[in-house]
Amino acid sequence: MLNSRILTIEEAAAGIPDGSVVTVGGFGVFLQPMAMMREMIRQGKKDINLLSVGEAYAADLLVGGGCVRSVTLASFGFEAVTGRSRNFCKAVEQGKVEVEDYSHFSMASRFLAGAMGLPFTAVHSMRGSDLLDHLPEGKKYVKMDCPFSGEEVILLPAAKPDIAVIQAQRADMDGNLQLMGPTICIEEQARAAKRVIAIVEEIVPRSVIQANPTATLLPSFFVDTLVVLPYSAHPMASYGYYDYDLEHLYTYTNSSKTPESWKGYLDEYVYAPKDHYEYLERVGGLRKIMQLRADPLLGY
Amino acid sequence: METIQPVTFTYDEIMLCVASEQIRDREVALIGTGLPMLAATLAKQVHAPRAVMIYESGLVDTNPVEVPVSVADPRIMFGTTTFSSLYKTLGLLQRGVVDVGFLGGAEVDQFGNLNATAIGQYEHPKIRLPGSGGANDIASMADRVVILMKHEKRRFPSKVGYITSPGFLEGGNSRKEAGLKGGGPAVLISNLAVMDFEPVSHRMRVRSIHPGITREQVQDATGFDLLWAEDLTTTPEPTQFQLDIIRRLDPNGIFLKGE
Repeated sequence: MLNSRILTIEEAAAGIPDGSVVTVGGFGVFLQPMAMMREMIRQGKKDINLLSVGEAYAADLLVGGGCVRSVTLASFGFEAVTGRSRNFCKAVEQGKVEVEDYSHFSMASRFLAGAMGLPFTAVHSMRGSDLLDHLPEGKKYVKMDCPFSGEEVILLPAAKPDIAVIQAQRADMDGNLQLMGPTICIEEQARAAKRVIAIVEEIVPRSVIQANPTATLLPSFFVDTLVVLPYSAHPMASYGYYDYDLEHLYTYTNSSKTPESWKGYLDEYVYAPKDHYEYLERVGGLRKIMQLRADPLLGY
Repeated sequence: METIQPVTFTYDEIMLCVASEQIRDREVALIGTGLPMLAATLAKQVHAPRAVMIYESGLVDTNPVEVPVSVADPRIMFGTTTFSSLYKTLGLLQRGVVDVGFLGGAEVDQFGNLNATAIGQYEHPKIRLPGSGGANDIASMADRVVILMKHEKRRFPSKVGYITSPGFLEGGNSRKEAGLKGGGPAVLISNLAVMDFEPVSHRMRVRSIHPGITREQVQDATGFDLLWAEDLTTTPEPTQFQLDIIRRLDPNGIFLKGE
């Protein structure tokens, strides 16, 4: 496909069937496709199976929105500042979501194998740990001696999601996608998926892409659906465009403490806004946008 | 007459200074989230200016001017020399070029195994925790592992309920026999003491106790019998220079809550 399809976020979300195996890009407070998570909740997606690395905020929101049946993950922590990903943790504690744990490197290797069109990968991680002990041997992992050197390696199956939902900064009309900053696992997740939905801040002329080709994460033919929506990673950061919104992250984690306060959060920021622009008004509008807007030198 | 004020510090600050000193100049260090991010920034500004700090989000050789809150914070993107990927940065562990990695967790046991996954039965946990992230990879493959923990009895059980990050497993030679590549936990720094692991049994051993803390306090906060180094010492106090930098780096107490 030469021309990617530019859709609205509503149209793009409508193309994600219930029960899909979905992988979501991003990590820490960076480039998680939050607007798409909000739209998926609004559309009442069900039984999504997440094939994850460390996209904690996106996953926690989607789990809190009742969209998720199972999670394969490496970590869903909110790190130093805001603590636990309570929606995810509670759902596991209450038996509402099935989990399968790996290490980050193991999941990244599984996605790389998927991206390379290979059936499995070999790693030295997870040995001697309960991560490996809780996986069924022969089905989810195999220990094998290398046929060339004799060195023992752990084989893991390739990760091949149905859909990758990823956030980046910009693309051209054809879908040549550019990412500024570390790529985390986004490139491997996208290349391993059958279909890619990319959300970007802006469309730029092809010449802008050509002037900086090293920033291109995916060539156009990998991007099946392109959504153009400014500040669509909020409350995450988009390096070079805007910083993360610490104030809103605290609002989020405080809201996830009780079922009542969490319902309040969903009503206020997910269900009530008629679209993404009204969401931005509710989190602080133009004043907030100007605060978060990146300093051109620092990139945040 | 002018009086010289004694240096005053918190136990978080002493923990942080000892942690930062684990990074030697010109070493390659893999930095996890939380206190290690502040320790790394401190090391770079005090004694290890040419150490290369790596973050698993895909950042190599970071040089932040402000302390990050996340391992994918734009504050470590500005000034870095390399944008890379998770596979490539954690792959450096497997390639064998990472000298030191930092870990924490909810529980640590007498052999330095860490739990960051679940309290209670894994399938139906009492408390679900974030999970491994890069911790298992660091624990498995870094040359030296530095563990930072708050010292409490419930956090120091004799055996962790779930091994997220392998230490010395069952002690003795069991780590080696499991085929783990890296050297395992070298140092454990708590808010009470600095510990290592006795080279034969690989049981946790106290090397130094922080100023003002007693041997009894350390043992009482531990769920198993500690070994004690023959040359047990008092942990050196942070210098005013270190403290000035720490307080400038974290003026709002995001990491250091004054404990």
